[in-house]
Amino acid sequence: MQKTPVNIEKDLKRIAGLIADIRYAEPPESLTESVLATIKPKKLTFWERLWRRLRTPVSVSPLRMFSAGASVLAVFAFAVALLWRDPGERIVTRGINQVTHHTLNTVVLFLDRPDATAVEVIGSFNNWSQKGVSMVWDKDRGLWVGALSLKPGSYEYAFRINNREIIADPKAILNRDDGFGHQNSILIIGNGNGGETKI
Amino acid sequence: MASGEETLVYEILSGDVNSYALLVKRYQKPIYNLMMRMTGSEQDALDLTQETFVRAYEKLEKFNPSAPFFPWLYTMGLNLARDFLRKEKGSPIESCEPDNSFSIEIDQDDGLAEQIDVQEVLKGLQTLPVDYREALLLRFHEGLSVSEVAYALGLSLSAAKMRIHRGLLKLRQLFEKQ
Repeated sequence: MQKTPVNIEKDLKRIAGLIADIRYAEPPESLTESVLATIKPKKLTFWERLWRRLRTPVSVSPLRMFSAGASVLAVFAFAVALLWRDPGERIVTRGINQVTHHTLNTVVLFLDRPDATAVEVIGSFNNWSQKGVSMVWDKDRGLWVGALSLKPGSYEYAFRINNREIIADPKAILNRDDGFGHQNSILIIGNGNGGETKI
Repeated sequence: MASGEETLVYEILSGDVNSYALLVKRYQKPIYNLMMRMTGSEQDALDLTQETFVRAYEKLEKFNPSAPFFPWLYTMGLNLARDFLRKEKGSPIESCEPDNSFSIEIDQDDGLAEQIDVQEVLKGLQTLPVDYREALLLRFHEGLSVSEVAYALGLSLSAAKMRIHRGLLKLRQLFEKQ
């Protein structure tokens, strides 16, 4: 039986699909460090920097808009909290955004792992359930981003990468040994009650 | 250009070396595998990959941040690999065949597509001229647009389209002969 143009096209599509499925070899882990060890920081003059900045297009995405909006709200909420808090009340802040929403606080966590294919937040907020909170890759920031809605209190958490590697938050201010030789990060969402860490 | 890379390039040019680490991590795998295909040696591939990223860093001032970064990097890597093969190995670089050199037989039974697998496609790719092989991998493995493939390989848009289509036909022809 002769091949028809339709069947040839089907063959070509299948071959293209198989090319997409080819598994690439992993480069040695030391590669990035080797490159960085070879190069020196660049120095541009002020005018060169200004010219380059003006030439750099600024992209606007819904996520970036959301992040910007969340940051503005967080600053506003923080300012309000500073103005209205009771004397002696303790406010703990870290490198995250917090937006007050009734009794729940939305906390946005970031992780710089561009090599990861999947990242989840796991922790005491759901009793260390196997099913974590999925983070999404923010291309604009080059970061993984995840949001948690939590009541005031303190929580332990960690990031699960590619469903196997578990690490503490590299940006966390506080960490605690989990008793098995690993560190969990501490997240404190305060309205002054400073509840116990849920473990 | 992948979103966010304009900012990274700006930060790198402003002296932030760590931002370059993100670009290295993002693209080290395809560049390393390009070098593996070109040299067949892990050590040479590692050296050339490192050299590609260092060379790209040194020339970053000449890079237009609104253009795609990866095809620019790929071009640099491919040129370095070709220079390496010419100087170090004395290997001739395959040139592409004329456009009228290719024809396919269409007397096979149906079912060819179901008989082949990834490993066979990988072996088949290694038998193709560099331009055909890399055009196919850039288009279907890296997901570049045809215009980005053209940019990376220094081809016109129509020539890139031709390489991709004829590359697929060449692979199919290889499997027909088996």
